[in-house]
Amino acid sequence: MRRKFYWVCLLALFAFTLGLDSTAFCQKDVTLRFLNCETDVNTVAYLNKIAAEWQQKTGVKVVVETVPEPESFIKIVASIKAGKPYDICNVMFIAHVVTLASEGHVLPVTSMIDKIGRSDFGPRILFPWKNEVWWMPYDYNFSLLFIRKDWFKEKNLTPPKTYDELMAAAKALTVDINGDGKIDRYGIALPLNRGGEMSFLSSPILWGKGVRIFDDQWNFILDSPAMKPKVIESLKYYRDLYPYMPPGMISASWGDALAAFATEKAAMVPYAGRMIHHIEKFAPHLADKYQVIGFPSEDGKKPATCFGYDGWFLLKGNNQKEAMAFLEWLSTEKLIGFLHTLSLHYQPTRYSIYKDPKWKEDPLLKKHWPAMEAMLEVMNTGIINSIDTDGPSMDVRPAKIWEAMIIPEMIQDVIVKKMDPEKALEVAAGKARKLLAK
Amino acid sequence: MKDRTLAILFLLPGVLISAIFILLPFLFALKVSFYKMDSFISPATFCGLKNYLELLEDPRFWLAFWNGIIYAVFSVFFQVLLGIAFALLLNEKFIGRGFLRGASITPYILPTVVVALVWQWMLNEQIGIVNALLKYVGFSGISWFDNPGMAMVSVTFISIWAWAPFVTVCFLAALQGVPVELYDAAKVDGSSSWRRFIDITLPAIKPVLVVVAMLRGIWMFNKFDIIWILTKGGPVQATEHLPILAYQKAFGLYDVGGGTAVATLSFLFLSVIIFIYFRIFSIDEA
Repeated sequence: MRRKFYWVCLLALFAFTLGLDSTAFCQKDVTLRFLNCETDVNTVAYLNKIAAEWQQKTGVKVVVETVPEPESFIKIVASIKAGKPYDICNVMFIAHVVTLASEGHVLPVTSMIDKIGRSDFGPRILFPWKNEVWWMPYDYNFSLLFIRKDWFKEKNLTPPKTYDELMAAAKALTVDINGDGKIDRYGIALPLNRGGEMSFLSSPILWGKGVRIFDDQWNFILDSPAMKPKVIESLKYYRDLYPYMPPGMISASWGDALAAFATEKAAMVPYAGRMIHHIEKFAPHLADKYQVIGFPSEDGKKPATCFGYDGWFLLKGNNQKEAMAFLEWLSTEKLIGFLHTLSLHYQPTRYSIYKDPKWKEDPLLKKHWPAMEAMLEVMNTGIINSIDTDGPSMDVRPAKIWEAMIIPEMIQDVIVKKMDPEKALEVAAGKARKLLAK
Repeated sequence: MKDRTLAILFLLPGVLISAIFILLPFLFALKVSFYKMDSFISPATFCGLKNYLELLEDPRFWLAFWNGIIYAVFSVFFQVLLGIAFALLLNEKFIGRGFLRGASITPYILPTVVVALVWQWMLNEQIGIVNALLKYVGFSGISWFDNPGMAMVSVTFISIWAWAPFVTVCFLAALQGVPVELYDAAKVDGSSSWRRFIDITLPAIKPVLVVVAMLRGIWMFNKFDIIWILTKGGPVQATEHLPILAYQKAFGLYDVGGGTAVATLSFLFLSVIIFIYFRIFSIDEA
């Protein structure tokens, strides 16, 4: 009896082991974990839909987990430490990708990018590092100026291309409408808070002036003899522009910027394509009254912008081959469908998409095509930079400058504390050097 | 089973849970604070007390420390003051008392994120209802979050609004235990209402006062969410306190060692304060 029992146990163990082996090798049981940071309801629904389609097609299950972008890096790190990394991810900063890649956790997608063709991608979006490309970008996410063209026309103004023109327009469009001595409408609403809103939406003023934080050898040059006058001039410009902004810009959030335009409190507001969705939803009467332009630059020839780039990358998990195949499918066959979930906000990174009739079919794109053309013009000819991508390649250093809020604090020092711009630059440079030395 | 064994068995789950979820993370954080560590996945290098020494020399740390003290002291003081006042009011007999008692707890049961966002919109300078009302009655609008001093006042005010009800409920419960005969006797002796409060009410609610003030002090000093949502520590670091600085360092500035050092120093400071607090206000006495 006892011997029979042992045999049964042995057989059961054998069958269990076989079962384990088969799950390890059978494609049907592969599950890809996709950490998604695009929280728009249409995007999430679309990703879930194509995940089901992929499972039907290949037997590989894709589980989409959606989190707000600032939380993604923490979740990714936790998944790696727990020994079960996500297979496909989004992150907020390209510096997060380099941090993970430098520790050997990221799977390069160079072959996939080369298959599409590097020349198909716009400028400064691939972030190659150590001769490899580590992510698949799908969105430029430019910060552009939304202007009220009807108000510009009323005042006989043309869309500003230079700094002087921008200042003049802001001044002319700051008006007391009902004659009670109080300003009812402001020229421009630039968020100048201590956070991402300022760093993303309002920093193009710096880039148009030619400000750079790092040189090609990663030297910190914000207060170098060549850069100092440009930074001081920019700080004075922010200060001089401030009286033409509505109250609350020092603590303005994303929502405040959107509201300033939709509630017709400001004539010029910086935002990405999401502003158009906001207009469609909350202020449809403005749909034919706005125009999108790049920020001014010194010579007025090249529009300036800041980009909030988005892309996918792969972690080195147990399902690398399957993850690679899914990403390739998503970024080729399913990309246009994905971009349509938030048309105009997802601003394509590939030139071929702009020519694709299938992409252009989207009704919202058709309706707001001039806005997309303006975005394309900035992509083709503009000065594209951001605090976290400044420098010769992707690196943690500019991301530290962003996260330490050194640039917003420098501007706040001038506007809130009334600090002399030269002193504010000195303080900011001191903070940055200390931070970078760590 | 002996009583002692039974007691150990009952205590064991709690001790185990505390060890796994409190003690181990604390020890891990303490260990990390002695390392130079860019992120949780980068290799860590032992650096001794360097993180601590750097912090003690960093004006940003001291500013965050003082901001935390100002925020905690003022918000706890007013929470307790208003909490006692409302509790006394709600302890009186009047029509609608039951409803008011229930309604008074509402701010406390709202999620912090809701409280912060609602107030953020109400105090919005462009479209907020508070400034609109001020302008309607002839005043000019107030920069609730744009001015460094005003930003601290605003976050403190919102914190008082949100958590004073908790203090009210605690004191209201304590007041239920005060014998009515004591007040009747004092009234017969001609004692004023102020003297009755000082001589009867205050000693009776002192045990609750001691514990509530301490708990609220710890909670407010460590409060992260409301300030983060309202101001992110700005403008120009005016509302940045130690929890925000620790978070910024650990998850934003690629300085996990520095972040955990901030958290450890904050823990040490609170431990010392609690020790002194209980030396002054004995828990037994309370």
